[in-house]
Amino acid sequence: MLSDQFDYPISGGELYTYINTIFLVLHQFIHFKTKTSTPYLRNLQIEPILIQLSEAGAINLSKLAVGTYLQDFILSISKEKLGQMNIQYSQGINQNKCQQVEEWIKEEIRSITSGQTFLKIDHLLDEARNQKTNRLIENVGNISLKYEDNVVQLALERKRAALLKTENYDEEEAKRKFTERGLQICENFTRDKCRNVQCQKTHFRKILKANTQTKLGNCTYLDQCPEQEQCKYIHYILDGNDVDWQKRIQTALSNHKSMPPQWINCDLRIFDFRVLGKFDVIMADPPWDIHMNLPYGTLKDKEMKALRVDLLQNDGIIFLWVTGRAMELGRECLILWGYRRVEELVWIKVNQLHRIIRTGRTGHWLNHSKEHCLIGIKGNPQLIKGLDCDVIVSEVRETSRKPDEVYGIINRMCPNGKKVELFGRPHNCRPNWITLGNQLPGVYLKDDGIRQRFMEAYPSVDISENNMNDNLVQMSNQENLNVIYNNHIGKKE
Amino acid sequence: MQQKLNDLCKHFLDTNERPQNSIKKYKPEERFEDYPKSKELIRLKSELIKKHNHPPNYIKADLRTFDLQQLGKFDVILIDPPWAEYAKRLMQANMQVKEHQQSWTLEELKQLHIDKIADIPSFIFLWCGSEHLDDGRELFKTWGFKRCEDIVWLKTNKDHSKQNQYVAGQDYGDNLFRRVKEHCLVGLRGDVKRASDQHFIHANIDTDVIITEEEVMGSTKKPEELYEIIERFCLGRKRIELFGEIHNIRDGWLTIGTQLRDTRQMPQQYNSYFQQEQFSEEKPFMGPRYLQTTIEIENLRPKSPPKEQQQQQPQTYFY
Repeated sequence: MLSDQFDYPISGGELYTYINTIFLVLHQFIHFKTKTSTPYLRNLQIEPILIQLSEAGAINLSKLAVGTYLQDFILSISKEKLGQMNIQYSQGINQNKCQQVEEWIKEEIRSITSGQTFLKIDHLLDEARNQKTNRLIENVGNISLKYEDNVVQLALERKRAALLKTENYDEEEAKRKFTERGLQICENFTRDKCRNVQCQKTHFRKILKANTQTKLGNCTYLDQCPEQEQCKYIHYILDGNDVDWQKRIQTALSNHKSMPPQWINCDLRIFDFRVLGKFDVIMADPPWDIHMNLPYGTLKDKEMKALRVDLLQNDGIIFLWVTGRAMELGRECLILWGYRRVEELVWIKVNQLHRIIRTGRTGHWLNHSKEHCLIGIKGNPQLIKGLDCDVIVSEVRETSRKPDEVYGIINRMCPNGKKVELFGRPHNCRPNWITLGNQLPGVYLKDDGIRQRFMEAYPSVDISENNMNDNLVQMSNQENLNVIYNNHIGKKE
Repeated sequence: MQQKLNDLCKHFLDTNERPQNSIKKYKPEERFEDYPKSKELIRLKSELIKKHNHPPNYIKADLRTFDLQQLGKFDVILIDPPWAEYAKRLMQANMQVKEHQQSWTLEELKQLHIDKIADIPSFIFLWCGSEHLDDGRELFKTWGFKRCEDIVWLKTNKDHSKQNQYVAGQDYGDNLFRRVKEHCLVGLRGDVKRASDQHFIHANIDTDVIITEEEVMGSTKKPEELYEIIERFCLGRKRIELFGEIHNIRDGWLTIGTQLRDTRQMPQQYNSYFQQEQFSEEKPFMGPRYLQTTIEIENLRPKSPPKEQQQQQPQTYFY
């Protein structure tokens, strides 16, 4: 009996109508797509239903050996027979259960299809539902959750496969479409809420696990949540697309010809800035002592003020990240170092769904949803003014990691300038910048002038070609970056 | 240069859509969708505040001559001074600067005796535009406040019909950016502890970012959400606004400005709002100086964690 497959009694004949509709669409879909999609169809676990239907004579199946493709075994669908079965099962309809099955089938199909086919199914199901207006989706229950788990598994497998194999044309196309659409996130977030089947914007999909409690609402941290596996709140993944597109862009842009990233691991309190020469742009994200328990050590006010930043510039601009009481302290430092503050850039922190992060006791009086960056000018630098606006909206990442947009702003303001970053971490290193900090792998210098002066000032540090190449390997090793990051926040592997 | 493709800053250059336009669900009515606890807390707080707000009071007066000291001491002071920036904006838009839009200099503003009307403790909210952040800090120093927050108002430009045009080839002087936000500095007078002064403040309910559509050229109207943030944050019921206009008149506030039509304030009656020991049932706006709280609100609102032993600062120097 079909009900044995589901742990609950199924008697709704309408189920078969739905399945009929779905199979019709699936049929088209299968012929349309390449064979790579069929393993996912097989994993749908609808074979039991097929067998059931086949036994009743509603559909004609050819063979059901393990490994067969679905398009191989549905030969024909008899609408008449299905109609008969409808009448046969119409007594004692359990509408809720039908609804459940409808829901999970919908979810399953959603997970494996995208684009037009998916929209069509949604549309058909909508029509079917409209005819029975009194229905409400109430308790999706354990069964559908079980299937949700499968969906998550499938998504993971697909992602793994996508990373391993070379990209075929279809995936390229999907990526291109997604990146073109960019941040066109739909106002309704999920397909469930978005009634517009034509909507071309990006949607998210709820990850419902066995321990998810939907009435608790969204997780505050979403994709940044450290315990996503155990978290009871709702999480999301991108609907239809879960390709790591950012990585691809980074590699595409890395062949840009320029000075390679350079860095020096040093204690900035005692480092001799004269070694470096003069720069057009300075950026600094200092570890201000803001009287809070932070996961990293801080520099005392005196030490900050004593930094010889004044040696780094004659005419130039400085970007100084500040927070809390450092807003005033930073202003004092700027004056001490010989700058006049001209702008205050604000970074609005948003989460994965592009909503402001407004909870979590992040500030002392009000919650803090933003970070400030003071901008000071010294002398008379040549800058391109009036292009950008003074607001950055960008997603949060690891603790105290600042948005990359700021590098774009700097590049547009001062395209050919020499740039130095103080208190940088490995992720800050980038072409045309020299990064200074105490969490960097050794020294890597390509600029001959700086290299010469560095050797004279610090003869004990080995900056031979070999050693620097080792450092480069260390830097490019992503895992190593994680090790450094974890050390920094005091977390164990 | 490595660059994100969804770089909203670059998107602004291409399309003139400000980065803040892309933020979702920021409006008060929709921001707590999917966050039921916060939604309930805001509802309870707003209901309570609304119930105990006294009727609006306002005084038409010129602050250059008006003696503020007769009004007594206040818990919350909101000021939107006529900064030079506002007049400059009018001139850039080729609009005439009317008499009441004439700006005050920093020295003139320092002459205001805010320190005489600020209770201890009390909070001040000072709009500083985007050019007067240092001036605002200097005023705080003069009046005896310590800056403790910086609320940012992001102005969206979703309505393309009234786009404030960017003038090409304009001399920006020290301006590096196109300004699309304004700041409101928050100052504290006296000593308030987040954990122990729960009769005076409810911290961490709202956030320090406000987003609304930009006003028409020349308007200095500020978003109304600031009032809500203030009322939910500070439980003090004596609230005063200086340089207020007609649209600033509000339940629970005393507004002073030259642009108001008339005066509706009687000192004795006004003071009687805050002298009762309990809120009365018939006149719920009569009651004690500080707004009270309910068990439901206390259960929902974010609180300081219990005092732990200060963690040892790491010995090694990392940042």
